Amino acid sequence: MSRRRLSVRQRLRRDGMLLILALPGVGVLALFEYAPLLGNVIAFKDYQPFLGIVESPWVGLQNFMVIFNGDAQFLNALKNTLIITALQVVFVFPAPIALALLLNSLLSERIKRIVQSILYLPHFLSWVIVVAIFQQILGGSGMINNWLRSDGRSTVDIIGNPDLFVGLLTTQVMWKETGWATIIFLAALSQIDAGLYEAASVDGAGRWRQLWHVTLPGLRAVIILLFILRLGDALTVGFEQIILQQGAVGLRTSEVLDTYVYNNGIINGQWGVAAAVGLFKGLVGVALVLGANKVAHLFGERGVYQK
Amino acid sequence: MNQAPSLSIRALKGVVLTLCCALVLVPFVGVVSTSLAGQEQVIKSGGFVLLPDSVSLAAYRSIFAGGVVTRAIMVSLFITIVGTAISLACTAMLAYSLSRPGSLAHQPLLMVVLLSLLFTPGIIPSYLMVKQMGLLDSYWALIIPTAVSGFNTIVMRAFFMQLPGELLESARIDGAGETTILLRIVLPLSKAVMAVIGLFYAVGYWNAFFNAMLYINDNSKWPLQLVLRTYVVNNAMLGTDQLGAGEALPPQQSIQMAILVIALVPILLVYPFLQRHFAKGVLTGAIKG
Amino acid sequence: MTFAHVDRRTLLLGALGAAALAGCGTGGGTPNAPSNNAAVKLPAYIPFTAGPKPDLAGTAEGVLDGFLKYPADPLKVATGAPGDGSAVTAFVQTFSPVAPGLGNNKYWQELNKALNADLKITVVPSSDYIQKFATLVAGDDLPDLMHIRTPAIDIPAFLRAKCQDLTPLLSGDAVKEYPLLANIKAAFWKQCIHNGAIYGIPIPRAVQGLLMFRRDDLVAARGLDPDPKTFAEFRKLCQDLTDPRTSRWAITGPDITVNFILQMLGAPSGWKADGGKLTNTMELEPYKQALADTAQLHKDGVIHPDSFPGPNSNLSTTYAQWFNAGSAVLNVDNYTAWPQYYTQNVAGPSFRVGGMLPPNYDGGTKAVTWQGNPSFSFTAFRKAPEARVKQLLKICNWLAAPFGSAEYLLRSFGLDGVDWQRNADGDPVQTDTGRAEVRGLGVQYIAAPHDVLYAPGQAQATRDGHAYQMKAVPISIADPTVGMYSPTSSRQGPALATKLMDARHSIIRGQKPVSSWDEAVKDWRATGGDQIRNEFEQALSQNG
Repeated sequence: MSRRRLSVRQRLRRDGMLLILALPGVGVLALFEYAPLLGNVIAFKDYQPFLGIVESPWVGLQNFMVIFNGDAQFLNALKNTLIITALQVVFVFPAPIALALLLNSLLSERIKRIVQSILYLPHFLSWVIVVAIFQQILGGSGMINNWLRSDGRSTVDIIGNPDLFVGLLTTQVMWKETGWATIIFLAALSQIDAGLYEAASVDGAGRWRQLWHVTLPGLRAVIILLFILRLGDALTVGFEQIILQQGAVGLRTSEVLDTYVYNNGIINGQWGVAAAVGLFKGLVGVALVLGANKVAHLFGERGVYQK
Repeated sequence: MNQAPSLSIRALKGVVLTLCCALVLVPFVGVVSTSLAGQEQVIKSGGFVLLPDSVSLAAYRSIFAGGVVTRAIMVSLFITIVGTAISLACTAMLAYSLSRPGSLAHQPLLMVVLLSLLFTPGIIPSYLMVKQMGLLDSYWALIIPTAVSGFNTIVMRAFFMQLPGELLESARIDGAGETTILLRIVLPLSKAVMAVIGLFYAVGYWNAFFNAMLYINDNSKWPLQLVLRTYVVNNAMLGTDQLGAGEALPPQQSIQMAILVIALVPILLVYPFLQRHFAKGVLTGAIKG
Repeated sequence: MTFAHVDRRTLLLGALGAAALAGCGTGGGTPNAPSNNAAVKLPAYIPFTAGPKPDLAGTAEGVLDGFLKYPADPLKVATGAPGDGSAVTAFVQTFSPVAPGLGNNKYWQELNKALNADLKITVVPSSDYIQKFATLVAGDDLPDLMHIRTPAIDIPAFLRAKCQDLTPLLSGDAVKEYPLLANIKAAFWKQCIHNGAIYGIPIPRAVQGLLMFRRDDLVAARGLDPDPKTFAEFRKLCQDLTDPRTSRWAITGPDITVNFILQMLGAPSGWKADGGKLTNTMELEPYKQALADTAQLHKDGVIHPDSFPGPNSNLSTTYAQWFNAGSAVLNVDNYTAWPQYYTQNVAGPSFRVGGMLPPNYDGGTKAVTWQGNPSFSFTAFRKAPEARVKQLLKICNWLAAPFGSAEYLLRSFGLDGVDWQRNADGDPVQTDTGRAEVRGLGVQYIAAPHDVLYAPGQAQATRDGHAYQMKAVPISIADPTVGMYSPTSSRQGPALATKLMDARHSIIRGQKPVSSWDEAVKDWRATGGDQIRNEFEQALSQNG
């Protein structure tokens, strides 16, 4: 990076147009993201809508007690959250990359398009429906069990089994989102300079070596970027998906941070608690993103954010 | 290793992809079938029909009765088209201006975008802001507050930064202004990412209902998804206060699935056009060569 | 305050309440001082007698009047149009698909004409009610009339800050000014009383809300006795009804089973009041008995296997569907569902639904039925000059016109020939247009008369429903805390309920012993239960 020592005025002249281009976008963010963020001050208040933000009384850190009281239920929720996030990072995150590579390796452009158009469909189903579909198939009175029963065999308990719950969640997310998530990787693949493949081919590189030396490096920046952004969301795991199925397995295995907060505050309309948890998750997200970014830099990657 | 993959690898790919497609398609056939099935079959099958005995359009008829849904479709189309255009313009400009490390205020601006991703403002402060701006009960309330997504901006910026730097540098040396470079060089080379981000925005606008619920009091201005929500969620809560008894409504599941089909159709129609832009892997090569 | 005649007591209480609110805010946890609500003179009950005589008479205890037909020549009961042509804004939630806007809604246009008002209704899907309400309040965008149900805010403080005290206009004989509102019995008004004042008008429902529905046709087909005399017989009946190979289970869900057994055991509804002391039903021995029995029934396999739902699941619809499909034979639902089961029936003409009374658990107990909330919700008024409030009350008076009147017909069914048509029996049957235009507008949640049992073309359901109520109401008991406000319950109730539900389900599934219930109750007491008890006890003592 060449950073000549220029005065602010010179840099303004050089980059003025860039700033103007940024203006509409930054303006929207300032007005509708940042200005309302000031309202998160209610994290420190007992907010009552009819009193307003200013008039509602201060309560110090009381709203944060939902998080920091460290009771067994909270720790359990945190543990479950981290387990699910870890599973998703290991299974859900790479799945669309693999699928995109697989699609990309198809020779027939038509098959590729058709397959892709099919696989992105589940993204548009709401969780209510996805959960219902899984129940129809795997539930106690679902297709599989009905079939087992009519054969006189014993039934299997999948939906209501706490031990299988995390696996079930992961399967559902993969089913719903893998196809849709390939889109971004396919776009990245299409940006790879075709000349590089030709050059590799001329050098006698086979398909696997091309994959290793051309395709993956071309995807690397996007993969790392999305990975870091995913880490920023580490404490967020499918709220709606889980709350819909929580009753079937009980809180011990299904309570995650978001459902814990919902069940202990938001369900009662405690706006302050919601804001407090939002702030907490934001701070954790910032730490994770900046940390991961630093690690990426150590490996010579660009990451999200650079000096 | 040969250029063409071996037969066994091709077979494996075929099996994997067929399996994936089947896993997705079978439930989808069920979705469409259930939307068309009669009450008796839906109830007897436990709510999910794989192949309908008879085809009934009752669910669709009941949804379109009264003209609310038709109107809402027009509202949603307007919001989606206008919103996506505005979003793409703002995002491309912002992403481009952030794609040049070392420029003035580059870091703070990037931080502004990144942090907007990690912190979410509360419902009530957002509402107060929309009210302050005089946007209540206006379609703009459904577009402007969500016009720029930090995630989309950062992804688009990453793609912009992968463009060959020499190309931009030489244009700059030729005296091209930033707008010219963005319009003439960057955007033509970025059709794939524009298609993807455009799709993300469009789907976001199309599916959004929550802001409309908060910001639009006049229900004749409601977008499709909010109207449809009153069919699903509220039928589901009928048990709380079942009034207007004695009505023969089509089964809840059929309505739910019909709603899904209605909401999916526009996306299905648009997708192939977008797909063209990122299914070809030759863009940069072609231009450079 | 805009009223000239606010008496000293009200003022004093207002100040007290504000002090309590401030105390609460500083984290001191002082509860909102419950005002002396018992001292409020409820609106006088002056029955409207000009209406049609019910085919099946109700009782003073709370059995609803049943009607088998709608009068062919409905009476106009309101005197002229109540409005003055000005705009009237209202906020309601809807459980139905949203209605077309004014321009495309003949029903709405006709209603405006009849009321001589420009009704502007903001509807919100019921699931989003809390958020929408909070933003309207926060933005100070309150409409003239507000549907108040479970807004998850401090209701008394909110009412005091933003809403009109209606006491001078409705208390005692003052309500005579609005004869159709005076046609609402005192019990229904209790929910509108806060801060020692009347703050709204009620939306009345039946005393006997939920009941155990039974597929009589399925029971008869097996030749079983539909009315077990004891719990043991009930269990036997459930076992005999269950046949997993044909996908049939006796009961739809675990929680309704617990409650049904509690009623067999004669357990109190919610709370037991004893000399000013309150005990929650779940602290009593019968609760553990009911849990043990339900766990046994679950083990017997007579409860539908997919019946443990999440808090947001479409519980009632799913259960109702199983019931209609015959995958379950017993289901608890609202009394209003009775005719609906008939219209959605797929079993053919043999289909028959009955209501099952809880039998005595054994020789030593006396079964009861639990009453519900007499009012579904209430409608509060934004602060306004007296003349304006009177105007709004007149409009509500019109909307509360009783069954049998021309006004009721328009309000509930819509416009003749457009929204409904008379069938061969002369009953108004809604058209597709009517279904789309009427219910989704939510006018029925602004103001309403006493509910009645009536469903066009469903005389059998009305007869059965009435017969059931005649038996159930005399043995029914009320929750002593109904209509009382506990700030802790309002704020923490749902969270506490979720934890209790989890503990309950663990026991029923057999993952935990019944004795673990003591632990759950202890936790409930420590995290808010005792506080709720104190607040209710305080309210109880002051309401005498």
